[in-house]
Amino acid sequence: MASQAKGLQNFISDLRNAKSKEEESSRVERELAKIRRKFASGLSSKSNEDGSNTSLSSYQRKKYVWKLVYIHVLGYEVDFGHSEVLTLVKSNKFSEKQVGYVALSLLLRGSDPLMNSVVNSIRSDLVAGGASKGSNSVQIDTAQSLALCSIANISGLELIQALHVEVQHNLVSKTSSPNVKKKSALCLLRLVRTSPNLFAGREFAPHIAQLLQDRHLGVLTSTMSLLNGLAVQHPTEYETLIPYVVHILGMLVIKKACGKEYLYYKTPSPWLQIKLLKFLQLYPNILAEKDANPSSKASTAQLTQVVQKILTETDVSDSINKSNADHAILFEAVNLIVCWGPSGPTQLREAAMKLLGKFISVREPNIRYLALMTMAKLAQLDTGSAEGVKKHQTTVLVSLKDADISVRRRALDLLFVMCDSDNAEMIVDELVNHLVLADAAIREEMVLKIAILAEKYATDLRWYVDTILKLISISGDHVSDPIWHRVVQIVTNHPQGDLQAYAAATLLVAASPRRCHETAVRVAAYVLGEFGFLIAERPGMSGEEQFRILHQHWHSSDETTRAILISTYAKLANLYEECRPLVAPVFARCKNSVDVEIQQRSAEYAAMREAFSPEAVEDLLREMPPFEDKEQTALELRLKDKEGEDSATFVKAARPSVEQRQRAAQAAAAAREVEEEAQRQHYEEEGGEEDYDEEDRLQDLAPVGIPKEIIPAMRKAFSNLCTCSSGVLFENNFIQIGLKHDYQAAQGRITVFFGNVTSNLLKHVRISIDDCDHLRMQKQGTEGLLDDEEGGGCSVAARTQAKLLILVETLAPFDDAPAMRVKFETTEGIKHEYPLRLPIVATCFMEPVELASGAFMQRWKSLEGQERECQEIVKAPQSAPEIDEEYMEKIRSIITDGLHFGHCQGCDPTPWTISGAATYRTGSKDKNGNNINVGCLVRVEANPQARAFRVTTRTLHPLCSKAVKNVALVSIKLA
Amino acid sequence: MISMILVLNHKGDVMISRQYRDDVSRAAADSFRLQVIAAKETGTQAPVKRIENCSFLYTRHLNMYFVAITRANVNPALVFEYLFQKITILKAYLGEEFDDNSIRNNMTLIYELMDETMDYGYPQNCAVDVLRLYINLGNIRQQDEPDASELTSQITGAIDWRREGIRHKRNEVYIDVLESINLLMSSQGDILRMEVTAQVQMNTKLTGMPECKFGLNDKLVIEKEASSNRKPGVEIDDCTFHRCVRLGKFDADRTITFIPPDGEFELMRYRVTDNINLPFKIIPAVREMQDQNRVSINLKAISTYNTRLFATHVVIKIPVPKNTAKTKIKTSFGRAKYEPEQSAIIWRIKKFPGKAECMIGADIDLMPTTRNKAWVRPPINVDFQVPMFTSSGVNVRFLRVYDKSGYNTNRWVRYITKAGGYQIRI
Repeated sequence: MASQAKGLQNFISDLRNAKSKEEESSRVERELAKIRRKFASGLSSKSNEDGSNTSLSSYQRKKYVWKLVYIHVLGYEVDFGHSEVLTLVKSNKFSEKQVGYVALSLLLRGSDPLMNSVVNSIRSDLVAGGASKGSNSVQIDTAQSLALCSIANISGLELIQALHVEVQHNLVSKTSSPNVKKKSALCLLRLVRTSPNLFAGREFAPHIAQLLQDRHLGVLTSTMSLLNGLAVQHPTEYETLIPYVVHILGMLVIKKACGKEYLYYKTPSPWLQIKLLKFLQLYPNILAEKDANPSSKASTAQLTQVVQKILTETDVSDSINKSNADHAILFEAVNLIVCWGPSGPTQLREAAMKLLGKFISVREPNIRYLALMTMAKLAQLDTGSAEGVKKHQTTVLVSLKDADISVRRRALDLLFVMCDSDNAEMIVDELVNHLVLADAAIREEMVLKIAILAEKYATDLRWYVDTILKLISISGDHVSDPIWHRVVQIVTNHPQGDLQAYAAATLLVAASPRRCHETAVRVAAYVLGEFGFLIAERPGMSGEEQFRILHQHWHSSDETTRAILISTYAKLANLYEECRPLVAPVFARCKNSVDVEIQQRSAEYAAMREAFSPEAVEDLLREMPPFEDKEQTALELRLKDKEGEDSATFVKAARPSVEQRQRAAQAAAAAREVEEEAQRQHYEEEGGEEDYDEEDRLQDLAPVGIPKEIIPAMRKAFSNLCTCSSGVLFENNFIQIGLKHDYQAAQGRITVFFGNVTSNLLKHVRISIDDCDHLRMQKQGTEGLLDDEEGGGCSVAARTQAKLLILVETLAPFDDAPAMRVKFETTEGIKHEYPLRLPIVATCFMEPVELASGAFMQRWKSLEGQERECQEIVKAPQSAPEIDEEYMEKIRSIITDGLHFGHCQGCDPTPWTISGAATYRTGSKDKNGNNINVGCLVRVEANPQARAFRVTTRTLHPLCSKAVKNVALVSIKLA
Repeated sequence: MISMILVLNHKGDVMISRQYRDDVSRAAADSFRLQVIAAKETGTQAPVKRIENCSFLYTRHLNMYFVAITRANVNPALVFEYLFQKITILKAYLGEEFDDNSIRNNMTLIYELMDETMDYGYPQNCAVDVLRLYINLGNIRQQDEPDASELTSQITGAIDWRREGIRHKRNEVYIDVLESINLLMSSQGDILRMEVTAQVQMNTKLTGMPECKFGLNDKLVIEKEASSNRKPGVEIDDCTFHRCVRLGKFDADRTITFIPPDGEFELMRYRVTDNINLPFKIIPAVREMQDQNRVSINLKAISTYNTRLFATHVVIKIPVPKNTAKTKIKTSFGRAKYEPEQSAIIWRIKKFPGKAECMIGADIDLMPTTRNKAWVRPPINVDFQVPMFTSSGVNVRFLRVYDKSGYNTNRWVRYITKAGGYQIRI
């Protein structure tokens, strides 16, 4: 027919030859105008009642409508000619009907108001089959088919409402030919998809059952498509159809009963098989139902038999088409097994696993891809199948290096899913190793998954931190913010063990090279700001060092990183006085930064010290509180975004692992312990003072501690006392604690005075001093002062003192100071409790030794190295004058008088070094009955230009070195 | 700056390609071919296309594309001006209607011109008559070739647009004042926008290095001269000049003095917004019938200029609805026709006398449509030319030519008013 329409062909070739868009559209416009003119030429005189033009010949009408269709398909708007189309639809000739329906389904939309007039003509075609049986049944069939096709294509709401009954009727009617049935099934599927709930499933299910008994495989295939579409919407309503489906499946698989025209490379209708299997996947519980009646039992038995047969009897064939069809069925069968999950027969699952294991090493990438994907689903089942999967771990790892990226993705997914506590470390290491080689397209996904796995299965959180660091160093660009945020959260939330110190130290090392990834700098900056103080004592990790290491990245980092760095600097400056002069210029410069965030941060941090009390500043810059544990971490959310909620990997990620549960339990236990402790105390106190009213009890729980603002002063007083024989240790509005101490070799005599500076009585003054191994102590004080129990203690009247005498003997070197707790109660009943430290430090027990320069150097050399040496650099205080000879003299007096070292003259070539020697006397005896002594050497070297001192101590005992160094440092700082 | 100039034929084959910088590759031609020419994009889209960080600025001459490629953020006006100049130069060398064949036959000449007019992506001397001095391949007549030193001083000198020693037997100057009038009128007859943009074209055939002085009836100048018997001048809103005009002098006393280039050039452009005489009055009456299947249009066009004058090439484009099926048109004058490509009735009048009135009436049958859509009613467009008429009222008062030899000069002045965007809403 098209061969006759010369005008149409000319028109099309004209358009094809158009050189530019303008030319084409002007040709189209001209053609449209011509068609309009033709259609309208008889409009006034000879038109039908529906507006179509009777003067047109059938040929012309077809030709113009074809042209309209072609123009429409090219993308131009065609909004006339519907009456001609309707005329064609109503025609009795197939050629005209066909054009009419094609135009109808393309040119009209379901929402068009014209639909009403169309519906009737379509309906008459639909029902024609029922109305007139006879000679021209072929023609009726074609008319029905055309009508069904265009209903499916237009599928407007109104059309569906008007015609779905007829369509259903066509589907179930006995008189319809198979062809019509096929088409009606598919048409109905389309209608159901656009408007679900078109009819009740329960009433319709029997009709489908009847259709499923049809012998025509084509009808069955279409019906199964419809059934799948329906059952996805309302699975329960079609459950009764399972036996029919199983029966058909049995026919196809076991009996191989199939018409010749439906054999595809000797496989009986693979499409139908797949549809049947897909339908069965909607009912994962059919095998689990115990109370099933015998008939359904028989069908399930048959079903397992069928699946078994599919699994065992499928053999790989050489023909690609055949193997594709067979594999498709096979994978659907495996999917069905996966669907059944644990309720399915074990031997089926094992067989499936074995098959998949074979497939993942096949050459054909499509099969490998499917096998990996299915295996991931299978591994997701909680039963022993995960073990089966693990056997193939090495093969999967090989797939990770596949040439095809989508196969690599699947392999990654599978690895992610099969990971558990046993193989986590290995898989994660393998993945990290592979990350180096992986190409950019898959890296981000890998990084995300490694991060999740490392977090889930970390038995040691240090390993987790290490892994993430490795990720950053290998592929920092793909480590998204949520990943490193998570590191920070985990480190913050796990104060148990030395995780925080470990993380701080590791990150400091990671950030020390000149070039390192921005993300590493960010994590390092944050973690050091929070936990840097935990490692500040370690060599090369002092606050100053930390600052130096972080600041080297300043110039290469972007705004976000700088903002984090600024906060870290503020925290460092707060903790270490020596950092303040380093940080101040950075803040000053950033106050004019273009970036508002940086500007604000630096300005606020810089102004903080002047604007607030030191206490408030401390409060502001304290460590962050632990993070809340969210239901879904940010990482999981990301995974969900990328892969969709029902992917195997997401399900896996959302389920907490054993390790995570353990960790959560530990954290909970720790929290509980703290709580219980508090409660026990509470009960104890209650036991003591039962007549406390509620208010008092509250106060009771939290006695007043040392106010924040006097802590710096306290520190200073403590340091002073370390080198002075007497002074004030503590002072506030209530109490003044003075101290006098002198030492003779290994023994010391300390007198502590507790003066009441209020005008009222201080009640229940009690002192407790912790015993320690390295000190033997004898205490003697004003009566009641050393009482243990709550109600005891002495009372100190206004402007009077209580006195405590302590005799100590040192037994071994040590580097801390004994703790003392002072408790008292004012007349108002407010309890105070001050934790203090007594200035009994190692240097107190030093005895000066005069050494000749030669002897000093000899000993100095012999003590070199390892832990026996301690060294640190300290800046002279800001307020100090120039470092000159006079100043050095002062330092010398600190060494000799304060630290009780003998000054070794002659071994200092310049005035800028001071050397000293002393013996640390202890009261312990060695096996000969002599007192054990430790020789100590100290050297202070000054650098006047840098206004810094380097303190080096070398002793026989590491603790001794450290203790001497600490005291020397503090003393020099305060000089 | 411009990295590459390409000349492509209508299929996108490269005919000429000259690279000035190495930041674009020759493969750029392919992406232009695929994304612009093959996509039939030309004509519908802006003539600037950005593909992979390269900007393609192009224009067409017949079926050839002149494409400038750049990576930098260039001034597009500059690039297009260069491309237009390039086409002008090629026209001068190869003839008005040069095509792919003439390009192919004059390959060496064109590359020489490419080299001379642009250096490292920066446009250089594009004056045709100067280029002619030293690039004389092809059809250009061998003129009396100046020697090298003269040429250098000419190109680098203060007046590089005119060479010395030009001789003409008859000294003549032609002046064309081309005005184009833009109008937008609302359906109620209110004027929404009205302005005249004009250019003064000159063609000089003068001997030696003459100094010229040019005068319009500029209001400011006339007021300064303050002679009461003259007509009031025209208020010129803004103007730009050819670079030969001494701007210092113009700023000081608004006299236009210059040493003209030889041959054709555009002396100045100006714009006038006040006191404009509209050459045509258009009165449309459009009626859509109730049943929405018929539209009737009646339109009256009245010319307002002097009866001695007449307009030529008058084209009135009356839009009709898209679904027009049949038209019945009656005109008192000229020919009218429905043209579906433009979905408009085009009414053409070859010669429209002054102070005349013309009518057109059209009955239009519409095709019923599937979906009812209101007609957007685009404006009526009018195109015309009125010789010897300036709608701004500008006229040339004088042109004086001073030369050492003191010869006489013949001066010819022409005026034309054309329609720019002359639109009436309906």
